[in-house]
Amino acid sequence: MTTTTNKRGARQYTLTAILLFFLFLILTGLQVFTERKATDGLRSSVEGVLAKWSIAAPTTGDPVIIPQAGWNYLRAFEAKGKGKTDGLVFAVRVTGNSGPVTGIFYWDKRAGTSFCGIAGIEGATPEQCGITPRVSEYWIRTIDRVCAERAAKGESK
Amino acid sequence: MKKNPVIFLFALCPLVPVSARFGYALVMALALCWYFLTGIAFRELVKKLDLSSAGPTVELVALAFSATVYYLILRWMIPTLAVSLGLYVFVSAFSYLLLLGIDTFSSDSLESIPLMQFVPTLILFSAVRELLGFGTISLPVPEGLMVVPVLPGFSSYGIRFWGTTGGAFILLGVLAWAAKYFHRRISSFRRNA
Repeated sequence: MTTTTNKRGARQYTLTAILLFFLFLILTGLQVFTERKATDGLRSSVEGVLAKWSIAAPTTGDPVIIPQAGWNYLRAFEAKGKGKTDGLVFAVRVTGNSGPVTGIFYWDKRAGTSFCGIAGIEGATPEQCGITPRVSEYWIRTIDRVCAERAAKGESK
Repeated sequence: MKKNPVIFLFALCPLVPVSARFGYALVMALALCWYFLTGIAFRELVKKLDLSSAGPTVELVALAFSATVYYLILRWMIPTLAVSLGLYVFVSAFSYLLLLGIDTFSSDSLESIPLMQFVPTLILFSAVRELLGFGTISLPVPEGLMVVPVLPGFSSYGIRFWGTTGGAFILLGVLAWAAKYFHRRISSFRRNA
């Protein structure tokens, strides 16, 4: 009786482990499959916002991972362009008075962080999306801090 | 628990920020339907594999898996929306759990009534909010959201307050009152008929 119960328990544990491992494999596969298109699509939106923001705006280079900065800072790119050697472009979820939007920020070592605009909603201004100066200033300060910490850890170029 | 309107509204509350736009609500509504369908599939799989003691845990892991798959597909199809809505995809899984309750989620019943009421409520609520708050209706497209102006001259006479979270809670209260009022009226009409 005990042997039968043990066998059943072992079978259940094995099947559960196999199932969980299978789910893990699917997620890993999907992550790899979607990464490139997701990055290219986001890059295109970000560059659209940067081009509208300023004539001298940078373009986006390789994606950058900032360790221990949190989920919100996973979408960052190196800034590319004439005279832009040490900058980053961030696509960040900014929650204003009217819900979340994708805010684009440009951090430059000398000038600090600038709010460039909103990606993904055609013709939307920050005011229309409920992004008040206080909200954008909060993100500017936070990105400045994240980049300063990154520089302190010696991860900048 | 399933019929408790407080739980129903509590499930809607985490999604209030995303209900500012109709396009966002469509994405979230689709997520909830996806959790429901994958929930049924995983429940059947658990039954078939006879994982009786590990069943509820596997089903919860399956919900997290479904939410992650949905997020990855969203970022593949609409990368910009995945940045702004990424967190809320997982919040919607929490709302889904609130709606069905963990016990119901693991049971044999395929009771779907709370979800079937919740999805249209979310869509209707966001449509009203966007119309009153922005004068537009937005739809998800690969670039993000396509905004269609519906109320002409909104910039002159529109009140943006209804598009804010504060306005949403007032609208939610009005919506809850209206639903209760009409429910009572219909019940009394049926009794008298």
